[in-house]
Amino acid sequence: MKKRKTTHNNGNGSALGMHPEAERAARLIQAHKAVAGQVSAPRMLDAGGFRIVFEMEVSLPSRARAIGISETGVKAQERVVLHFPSSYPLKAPRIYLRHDFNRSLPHFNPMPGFGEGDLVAPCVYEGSLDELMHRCGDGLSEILNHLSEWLGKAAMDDLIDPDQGWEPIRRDDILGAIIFDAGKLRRIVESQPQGGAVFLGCTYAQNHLNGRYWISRISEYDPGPMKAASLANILAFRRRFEDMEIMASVGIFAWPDVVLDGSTAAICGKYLPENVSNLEELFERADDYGCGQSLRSKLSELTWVCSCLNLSSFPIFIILSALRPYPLIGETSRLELIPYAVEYSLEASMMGHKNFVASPASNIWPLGHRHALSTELLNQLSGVRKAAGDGPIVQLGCGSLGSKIVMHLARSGNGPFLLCDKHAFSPHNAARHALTGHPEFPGQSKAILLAAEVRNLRQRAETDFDDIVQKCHAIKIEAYQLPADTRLVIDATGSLSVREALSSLLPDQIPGRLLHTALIADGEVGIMAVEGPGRNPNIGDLVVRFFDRRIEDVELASRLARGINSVQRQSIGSGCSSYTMTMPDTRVSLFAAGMAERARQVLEEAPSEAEIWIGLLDESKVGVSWKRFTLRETTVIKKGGWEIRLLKEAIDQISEETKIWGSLETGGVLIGSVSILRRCFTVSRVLEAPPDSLRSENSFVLGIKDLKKNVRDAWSRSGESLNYVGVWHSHPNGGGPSALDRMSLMKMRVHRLGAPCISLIWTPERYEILIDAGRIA
Amino acid sequence: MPSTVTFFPVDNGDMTLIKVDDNDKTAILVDINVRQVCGEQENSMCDVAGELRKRLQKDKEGRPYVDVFLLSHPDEDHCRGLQDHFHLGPLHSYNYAPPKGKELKIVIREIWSSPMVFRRAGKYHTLCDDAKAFNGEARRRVKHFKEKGSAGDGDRIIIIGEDENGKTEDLEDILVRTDEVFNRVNGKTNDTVSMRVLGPLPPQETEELEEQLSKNHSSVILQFSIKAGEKTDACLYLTGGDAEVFIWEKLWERNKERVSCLEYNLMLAPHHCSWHTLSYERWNGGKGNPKVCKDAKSALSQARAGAFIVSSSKAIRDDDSDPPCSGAKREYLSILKGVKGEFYCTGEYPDEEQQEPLQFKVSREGPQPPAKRSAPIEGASVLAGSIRQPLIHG
Repeated sequence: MKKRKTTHNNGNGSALGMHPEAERAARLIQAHKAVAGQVSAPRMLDAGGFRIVFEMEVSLPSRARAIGISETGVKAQERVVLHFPSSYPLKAPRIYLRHDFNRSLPHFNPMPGFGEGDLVAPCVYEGSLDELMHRCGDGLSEILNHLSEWLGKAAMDDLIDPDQGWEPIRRDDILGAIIFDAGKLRRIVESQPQGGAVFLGCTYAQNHLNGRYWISRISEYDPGPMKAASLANILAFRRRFEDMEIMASVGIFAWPDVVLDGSTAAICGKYLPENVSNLEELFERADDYGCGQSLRSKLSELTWVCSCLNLSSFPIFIILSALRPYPLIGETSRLELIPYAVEYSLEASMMGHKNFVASPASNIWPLGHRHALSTELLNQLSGVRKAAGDGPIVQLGCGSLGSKIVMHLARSGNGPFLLCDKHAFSPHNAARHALTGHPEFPGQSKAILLAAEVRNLRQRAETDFDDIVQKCHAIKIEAYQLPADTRLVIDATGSLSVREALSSLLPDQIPGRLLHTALIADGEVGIMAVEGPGRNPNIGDLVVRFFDRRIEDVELASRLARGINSVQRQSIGSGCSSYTMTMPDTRVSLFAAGMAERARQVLEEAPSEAEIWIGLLDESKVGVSWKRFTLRETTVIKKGGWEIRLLKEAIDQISEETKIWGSLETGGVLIGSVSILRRCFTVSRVLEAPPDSLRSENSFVLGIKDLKKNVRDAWSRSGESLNYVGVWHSHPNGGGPSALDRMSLMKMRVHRLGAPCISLIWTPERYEILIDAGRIA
Repeated sequence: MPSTVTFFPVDNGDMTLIKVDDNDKTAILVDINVRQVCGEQENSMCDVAGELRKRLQKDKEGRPYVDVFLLSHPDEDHCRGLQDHFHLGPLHSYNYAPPKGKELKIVIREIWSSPMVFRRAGKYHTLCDDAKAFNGEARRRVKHFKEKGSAGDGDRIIIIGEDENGKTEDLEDILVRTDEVFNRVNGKTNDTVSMRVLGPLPPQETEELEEQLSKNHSSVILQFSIKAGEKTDACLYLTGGDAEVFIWEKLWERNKERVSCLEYNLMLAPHHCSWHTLSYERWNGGKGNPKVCKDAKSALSQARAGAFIVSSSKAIRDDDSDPPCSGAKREYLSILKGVKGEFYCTGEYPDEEQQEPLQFKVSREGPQPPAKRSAPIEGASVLAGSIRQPLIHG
């Protein structure tokens, strides 16, 4: 070997010297088990890369082994050319096989490129070789393993695994992509199984710099027979967007005819590589797929119309289809759709100057296919099951939290939606909203702007700008109804009045489950509450349970205490301010993502119990940890225009206590909240009777030792949200309230400064209630 | 997926799974040798039980199963681990809650068993526990058949080879005689695979001949014929347990006028590539030029073009050990040379240090060995297996 001249190495394979990795690559190849004989010395390439040639041993089936070549034409030893780019090992080498390697096998890269002329480029890995380089060890050995496996499979024609599905034709060097709904095209085929072709309307953007049709879209599926006027109309369409010109043209979709001797369509079980470059070849290929006749007849119809209009050349789009012996990978259909862009040109026929024919030399380029945006596509990409039913998600509040939840749900295709918000989008909203506001028309409704985005995601979105509390009132007096097929109601209004209004509605006035969401304490705490089946427990119960949770949860209590003044006035204009919580958009998103995720889960499978989720921003402030609590059924008692709601935890405490004291009367203090407006008591827990209480078989006298202190304690630890709402005692031998019981209640009135309170009497059969409405009586 | 024949690396022992490319993906397991993994071996020994389970289907109740389990003969290195990994007894006693750290046991839908082989094996040595358990299960199934006249999954059995003194006379429906070809697999006629019974040899006339068969590790010997595409005999797979020289000599005598019965594209070298398969003399490192029995070798020489012979054994060294025996390997190589075939040893695949199951795929052109691979070159990860970067999303 000649001594190499000292050269300046610029680090990426200088043109003046051999690539620094070349020798090492050759050694790696030589060491591979499937490599036979001597690996060639690396040869420099112009662009700073290098090339190595070697023989790879192929594992052939027994009979093929004996004669040195398989039925598919794979030899016991195959010559391999590895073409390393100058950026190796960051970029992977390209693999080439001899020019006469059997190209009718599946899995080839269609155009070799890299100046390797007519060598064949196998596609040995389903992903990118550049990525494979970095997955495992030296990378190169793994690429050779894949090549060795590929050759072995090629030798026994096992490159397509029927269990996995038919591998669609590989078309890397495409001119662009065409967007269409494959399901729609397949339904056309189902409706006309005897074979045929249809015209389609297409709009496309052509990049004038490189001629690529990135990207075209089928906009019309059944325009009927082609007429000269309509073709002229289509071709006259012109729009500009940025530096792209948007135009329109026609497409033809052709599908396989029924085979002559049977009622089934022609099946194409042969893998044909993508090498069609002109119209003549396209016809041949269409014949292979069994749709040649239909394509020719449709194209001659177009040619005739073009002759009438004296058109000579314009782009059209053709989608061929082939019926495969088994379903395509990841799909249920056996119909493979194969689109092309055609530089359709007409030439005079021998018949005379008025007769034109499509030029067989018209240039053709393969196009990629992209699914049209649809809820199915969104479901698929998100990996979610589409929830049953077509009813809407009713979104109350389209502010920063609500808009994000809706966008998350819409992106996974969970619509339709009914979006309710009375507010207009104001510039300051842009700080935390999922949207940025309308670029030209300020003051658009948040609901309308959000609906437009949802519709872009191909989902229905209705809007409602009424005041939500007013709306709830209308529902309450039966002047309005939410859609009966509502799947989920999400409250993200951040409004106490809305929460109260929702709590006040009867169970059958809210169809679907109600999910309440809110951020608290500068966005340090988030809450999600899902009502139970039949709205029991309801949102009011769940919120009381959340406050009750603070009594035990020190961490939660301290977070809430810190954020007590977190809602503040923010100036949003001269002399104008908004009463809002200050926090960055990112923090809203941290919580909104979890909330949307739970909403999606509830849509898929509604939980059998009510639940509260409490999310705390973690110490790093980059994550949220959510804890879930479930709530069983609330006992609801109605009396004298009041509703008394006893949460299951309080009921459990009472029955435990009565069990302990058996035949003696016992009792204690009820902690909870009173909603004056809803005329509702909610009891969340019971405080044990003070030690100086007196229990006997026919009376119970509540003591006073530490009572005030304990009630105060519960009040303060609940964030001043829960308080003393009354007392309870038991009548183990049954019987309603005594005269003494009534008298005691009147006494309490004095201590409670006129706030309403209750006296609850437990008997083995039922609860008896005495209510003192206090000053509002 | 094409049909496959997989040899699990189990040292000197046998464990082979045939997966048939039919609608049911029928799984036929021939012998097992699942050794307890302990200490240092953990790093190098292949987890054959895990590898087997990976290849099995589960039934509607979630139980892994094989359609057929054939025990070629009851030596421990052919049935070790049976009780640990397979459910024995009627299916209604199946344990769905295995003890912690254990997996659900594998259901055997149909057993193929040869009472004649058991009888001959029992003459010279005591059976191991797993062999006794297998025998007990086979007897249970025969009894079930005698009582009910038919059987479902988990109770089926096929008796291979007639027993002595007419003991199999009332079992016509579940009996397959030597030299017969059958294609009833797990109660169904199978269009993709059929089996020719070459052994056990039927009961012999003299006590002396019977004794010879016992001493020569009488085994079930089958020629599987596996279809691929339209070719019904795309792969002939010959498997004969531990059968030794006398048996192969006899087989040649019986079949030399119809050698196609002994043909193969793929053969498991009998008795882990032992010298005694080919010769009546001791190997002894080749000293004294021990003679090969011509007829026995002829019986094992019906290799088709490009055939493969697999030794299910430890790595084969050029010394005086037997089995596996380097002398026997040389004889097999000489057979393969004429047909451009290739020899494999499970103890050397892909490396002596780190073995993997050796899987052949069946194509129209015969069985195909796995493509050759090399482990990627990397840093200090040899003990734990190669490090792979998870693919990421951006």
